[in-house]
Amino acid sequence: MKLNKRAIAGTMTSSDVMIEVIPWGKTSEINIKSDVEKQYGDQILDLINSILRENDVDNVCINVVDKGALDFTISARLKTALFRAAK
Amino acid sequence: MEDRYDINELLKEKGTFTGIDKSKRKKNKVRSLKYVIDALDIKDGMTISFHHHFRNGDLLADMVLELLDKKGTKNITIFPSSLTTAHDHFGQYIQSGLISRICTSGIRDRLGEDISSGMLDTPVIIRSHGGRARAIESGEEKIDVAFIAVAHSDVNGNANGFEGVSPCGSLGYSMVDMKHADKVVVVSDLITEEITIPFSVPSYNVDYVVKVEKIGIKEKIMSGATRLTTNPKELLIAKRTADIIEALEIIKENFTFQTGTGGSSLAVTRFMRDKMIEKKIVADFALGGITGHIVRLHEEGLVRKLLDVQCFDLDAVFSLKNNIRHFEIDASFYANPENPGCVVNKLDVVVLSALEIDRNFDVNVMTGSDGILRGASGGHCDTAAGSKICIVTSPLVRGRIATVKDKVLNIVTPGSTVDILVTDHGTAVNPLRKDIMALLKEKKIPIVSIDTLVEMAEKIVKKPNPIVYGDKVVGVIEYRDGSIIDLVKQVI
Repeated sequence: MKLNKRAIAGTMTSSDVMIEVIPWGKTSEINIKSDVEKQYGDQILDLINSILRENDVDNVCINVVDKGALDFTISARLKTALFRAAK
Repeated sequence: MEDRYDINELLKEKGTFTGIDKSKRKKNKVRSLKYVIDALDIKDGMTISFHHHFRNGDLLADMVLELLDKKGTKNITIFPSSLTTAHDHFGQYIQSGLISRICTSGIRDRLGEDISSGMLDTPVIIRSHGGRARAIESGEEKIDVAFIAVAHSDVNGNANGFEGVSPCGSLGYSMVDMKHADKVVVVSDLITEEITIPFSVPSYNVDYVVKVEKIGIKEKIMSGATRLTTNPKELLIAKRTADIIEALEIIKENFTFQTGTGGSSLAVTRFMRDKMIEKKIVADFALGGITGHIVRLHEEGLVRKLLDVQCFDLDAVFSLKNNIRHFEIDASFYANPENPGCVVNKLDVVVLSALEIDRNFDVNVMTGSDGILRGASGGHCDTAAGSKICIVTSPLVRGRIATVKDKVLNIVTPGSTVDILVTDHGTAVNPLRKDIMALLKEKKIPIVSIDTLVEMAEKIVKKPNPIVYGDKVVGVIEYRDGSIIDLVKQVI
C-alpha cells in the first residue's frame, strides 16, 4: 500500500482511539499515548506493527492517542486511516 | 449520726460569694485564622483534622496548611475525613516537610499519584467512614486540633452546615471530631450575633470561632459521581438490580436502603421508585450520602426518613434545611462497628459500585487498574458488612479495563460481605449466599458464576501486563475494625 497524504481516523472519546498516519521519508516511527499504556502498550504496538505488515506499509509515522479502545477498534481505525492516506 | 462535713473546710475550699459584675463575664471573640493558628501553637507530631463535606469546593484545609507552612511548621499529621481534587496540590506541603503523615478515606488525582510514587515516607492510613469514627472514639487516633468549616456560626460557635451563602449540608464526619479533639476551631464566612438555630455544632464543643472571606465553593459539592446516567449500559445494570431487589422481596413496608454514588447505583433508585409506587410501599429510611434523587422520594412520601451523614448535592443541602425528617447523623452513628446501634446494621439492602471485583467477591474502590491511588474507601465496607444484602453493580469492562477480574489489586471490602454482583453481562451470586441463589432461581432471574464473568471480561480486554511495584508500602488499608486488610505498594 502506498501512502500519498496525511490522514486521520477515530476520535478521542472514551473507549475510542484516534490514529494519525503521515507518509514519512524515512524509517517508520510509531508514537503511542494511551490511558492503558502500562497495561496494554506492548500489545497495542504489536497490533499496529502486524497491521502495517499485512498491508505492506513502510516509511510511515503513526501517532496513536488511545482512550482505552479494544483491539478491533484500534484495528478498524488504523486500517481506515491507512486507506484514507492511500487515496 | 456523725457529721460528714467540716463546714469551715468547705467554705475555705469553695470560697464565699462576694458579688458579681455582669460586665466582666467571659465573652467569646471572633478571631482571624492567623490569630488562632498562632495561639494554638501547632507543632511537630500534632494531628489536625478536617472534613470533606465541601468536597471539591473545600477551601479551609488549604488555608490552614498554607499558614502553617509559612510559619515553618513541620511533621504534622493531617486527618481529613477524605481528600478531593481540592487538595491536589498538597504534595507541596509534603515536600516542604509540613505534612509527614496522612490518614484519610479517599485520595485521588495528582495527590494520589504523588503518594503512589512514594513521595511520603510514612504510608497513608486508609480508613472507612465507620473505621475513622471508631479510631477517634477509641482513642487510637488523637486529634489535637479539629478545623470545622461551617456555613453559619454565631459568635459563640453554635453552627450548622446548611444556612448562609456557602452551605455544604450535613457535618456528619466532623461531628465525631468535635467531641474528641483537644481544640475545636469553627470557621465560616457567615458569623452572626444572633444564635444559630438549629445547630449541629454546639458552642460548648468549640474553642475558637474564625471568620474568613469564603469558606467553600458550594457549586463544587456535586461531583460527576452523582449525575443521573443516560448511559444504556448503566441503565441496564440499574434495571436488573431493581428487578433483583424486587425478586428478593426486599421492597416491603418500612424497608431500608442505601444507594451509593456512581452511575448505575444512583439509577437504581429511579427504578425502585416505580416499584414502590406500583406496590404502594413506603420505605422507613434511606441512608448515606444523600442526593436530590433520594430527596425527591422523601418529598413524594415514598421514604419516611433520610439519615444523612453527607449531602451529595445542593438539593440535599436544601432539603436538610427544610425537611424535619431529613436528619443529620454523625459518622459513628452511621457506621462505627463498635457501636452496636450503628445504623448501617439496620440496612435491608445497599447498592454499591466498584473499581474492581474478583472471583472471591473482594472489592477494590481505592486503586485504579494501574495500581495508583484514585478512590475512596468511604462507607463501602461499612454498609456491606452491616446490610442484610449487599449488591455491587459494575460494568463488566470500562474501556479496556476489566472490572471483574481474577484478583483485585487491593482489597477494601472483603468478599464475605458482598452478596451479589450485577453487571451488564450477567449477575453472579456469592456462593456463600445459598438462600439468595435459591430465591433468585425460583424467581427465574438468570444467574451466571463469577468465574464465567471473569473469563468473559478477559476475553474482551485480553490479559494486561502486570504492574511493576516498588518495595515501598505507600498505603495501609484498614478494615473498619482497625485490622489491616491490605497494603498499597509504590508504583514505579
